[in-house]
Amino acid sequence: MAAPGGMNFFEHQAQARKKTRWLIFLFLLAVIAIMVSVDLVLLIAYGLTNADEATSSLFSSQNLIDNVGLLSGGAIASVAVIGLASLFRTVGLRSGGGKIARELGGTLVESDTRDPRRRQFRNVVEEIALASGVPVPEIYVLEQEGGINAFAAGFGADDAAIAVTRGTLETLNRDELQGVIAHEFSHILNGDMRLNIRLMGALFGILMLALIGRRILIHSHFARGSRDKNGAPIIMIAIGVMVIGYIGMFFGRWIKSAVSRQREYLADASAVQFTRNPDGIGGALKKIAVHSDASYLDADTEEVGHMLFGSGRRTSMFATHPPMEDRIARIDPGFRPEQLDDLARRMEREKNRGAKFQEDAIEKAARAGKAKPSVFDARSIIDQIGQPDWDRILVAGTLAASIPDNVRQVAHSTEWAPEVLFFTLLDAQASIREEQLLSIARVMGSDSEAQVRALLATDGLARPEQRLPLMEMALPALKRRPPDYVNKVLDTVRALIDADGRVEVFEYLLAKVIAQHLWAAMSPVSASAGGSARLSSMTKDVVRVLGVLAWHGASTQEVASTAFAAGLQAAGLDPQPLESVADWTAALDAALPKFDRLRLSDKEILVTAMIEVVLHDGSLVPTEIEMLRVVCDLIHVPLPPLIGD
Amino acid sequence: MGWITLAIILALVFFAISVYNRLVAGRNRYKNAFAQIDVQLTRRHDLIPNLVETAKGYMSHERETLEAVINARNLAVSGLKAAAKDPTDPEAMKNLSQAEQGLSGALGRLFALSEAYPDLKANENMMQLSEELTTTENKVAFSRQAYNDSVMSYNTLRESFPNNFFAGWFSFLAAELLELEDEEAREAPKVSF
Repeated sequence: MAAPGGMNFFEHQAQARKKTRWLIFLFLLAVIAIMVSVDLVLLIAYGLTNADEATSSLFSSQNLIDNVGLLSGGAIASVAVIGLASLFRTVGLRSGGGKIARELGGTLVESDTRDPRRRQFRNVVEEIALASGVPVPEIYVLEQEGGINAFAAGFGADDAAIAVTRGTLETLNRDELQGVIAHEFSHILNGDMRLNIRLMGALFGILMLALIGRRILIHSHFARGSRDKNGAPIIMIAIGVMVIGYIGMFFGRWIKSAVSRQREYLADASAVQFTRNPDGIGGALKKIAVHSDASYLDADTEEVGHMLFGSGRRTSMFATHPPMEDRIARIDPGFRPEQLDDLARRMEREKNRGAKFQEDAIEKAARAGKAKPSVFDARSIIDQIGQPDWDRILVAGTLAASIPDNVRQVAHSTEWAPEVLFFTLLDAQASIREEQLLSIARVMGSDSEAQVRALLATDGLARPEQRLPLMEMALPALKRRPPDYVNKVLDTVRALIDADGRVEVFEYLLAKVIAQHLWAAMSPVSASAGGSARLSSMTKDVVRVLGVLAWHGASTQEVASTAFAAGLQAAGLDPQPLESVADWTAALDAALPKFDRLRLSDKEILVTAMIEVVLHDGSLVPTEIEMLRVVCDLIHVPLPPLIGD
Repeated sequence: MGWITLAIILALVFFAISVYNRLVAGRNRYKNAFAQIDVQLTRRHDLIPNLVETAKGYMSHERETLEAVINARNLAVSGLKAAAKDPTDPEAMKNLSQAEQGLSGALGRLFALSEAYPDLKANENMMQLSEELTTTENKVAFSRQAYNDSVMSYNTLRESFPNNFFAGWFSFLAAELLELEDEEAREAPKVSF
């Protein structure tokens, strides 16, 4: 397919390459100019100290030859400062692309991801890798960023990583995403990362020169009294070096951003070359131009600014990216700025439609919640496992609807998910709660504590039946965070549960479920639906777990015993007396992983037995329902919400 | 005089060897490029029975279309098998081109029809399958570029003077481009969900 509209991406590429070479030449010139200027300052300063000789002959060839040592010393010194500082900086910047992406809050997208948007993202990356001949890089999503942006990081094609924001995946269609990814691949292919790291290194060197000048100035200012004779020239040299350094910085940054802008044009043209589809990248650029968050990022983008798809910050003088309108016009020669207004209106409409759809769904769930709850028995619950029928969905809807709007909204957001999780674990007793809030502040920081307090202030404590639904809302957003962060959250959860000095069965299981879900997200291999073990091989564990459950729900020993007996019968075991289980955490710890390896048919028997135990007294209180669901969750049997009395 | 003749003969032999080796390298390069396409086409063929299975539940009235897709798929599978066995056989490559074009056409009609079934379009399984089909087709398109490039440079090497004599003697056949660019077929998979 030929590129339409007279747009020739090869011409654009050639032009961008030529301009880059010219700018790099200018940059080298600037570095040389800095060296010469430093020499000049040294020479003048030297001339001033030897004022008794004729100053008029300062630039005579004789004087230059006499001072060849001084001059070459000055040149070598400034080159050494620039060289060493930039070397130091370059080494720092050379860490692999994946590391940079993680530092900016990126979460790795696994190759077997199930999420449709991530799946598509990964597919598109693999396609462009084929089209451009670059190996498939690591790919990341910046979950906390709502703007449309993307970057490639790393030193070369081998350690490259590509990251896109959540906003990119949500706003762009497949072709546009393809355009953006192709743009980033061009940065990898054309060695832009290497080029830019070198430029940044050199800039850092020039900055060091300015800083050294300033340092000497301050130093000699305080030390003036003792060495009055040499003071003047040293101050002069210092001021000179400082001014040269800052002027050099200014031009250096200016040239660097000009280089960066050229590379953006190059990457846009290459994106058209790879995808053979100017509409993809053109559409993406137009959407950024009208998107409310544009391409701005919350994270500090100094070091990857040049690699981003759109500007990470609002600047103009040192902008790393050309103006959006110019970029669009190069891709799509027929482009008129008025078209953007149309697009903005269209996107607004789509957004409203999406919001309306959500509102309707919530309203429907709330209306349906008034429906009469139906009776249940263990058998029908078993039948429901894995295929929630309408009633159960309604119950889930009602539960969700009984959670205040604002809390529900924040539970789905990445920023608030951990705090919502902590909020569900807060104790009813004020003194213990304070202890818990303190441990949140200790592990997660004071911002997190303030957020939990805000949740507490809006709605008071979460009711017991709200705890699991809230947790389920918060987990997906949490799963997308990097492993280090998840570990911190798990530590906090443990601290919250230990705060009252004793661990209840429910609390203990809740912590296990949270840990299991979060780890399953990071190592999907370990999660499984069923194994091949038989129930008969673990009778002892079954007896103990049924015992724990019986004690948990019962008010008296008699009730516990009958519940236990019913459970044994359902499990097909011989009746035996109920013993008190002293070390129940150890019992559960040992039993649950074994249960998880049961074959599916035996899992069903086990769940029936557990339901028998919990339901035996005929009433079902919220804590019992939660308990059942948590245990089932731990052995990977999805139990739908049950209807309480 | 004898020395000079011997030198000329030796030079000719060395030249023939180098041409032969370059032709072999070129042939292997396009064979390898075809292996890349082979992987993607196989994946495409594997996806289609699932797609038909999912669509069947929603569009039972469109039996003919679904059967046409399955038939076109089976034809493409056998075409691919023949071409993969010997990528240097121009006839097999041409048959594969035609079979794949037929498959794209049948799929295009299926997707066009599915526009009338919103439930099918909203089906999660269907969305996943059509995403996988889209990406596979894109990958075929991109790896086809590499294949056709290597076929072209091989054919140029083979046809240019004086290599054409050697190619004839050593029976290096002309390689066939893989054309899926049939306009209808090209547009068809663009119907996206």
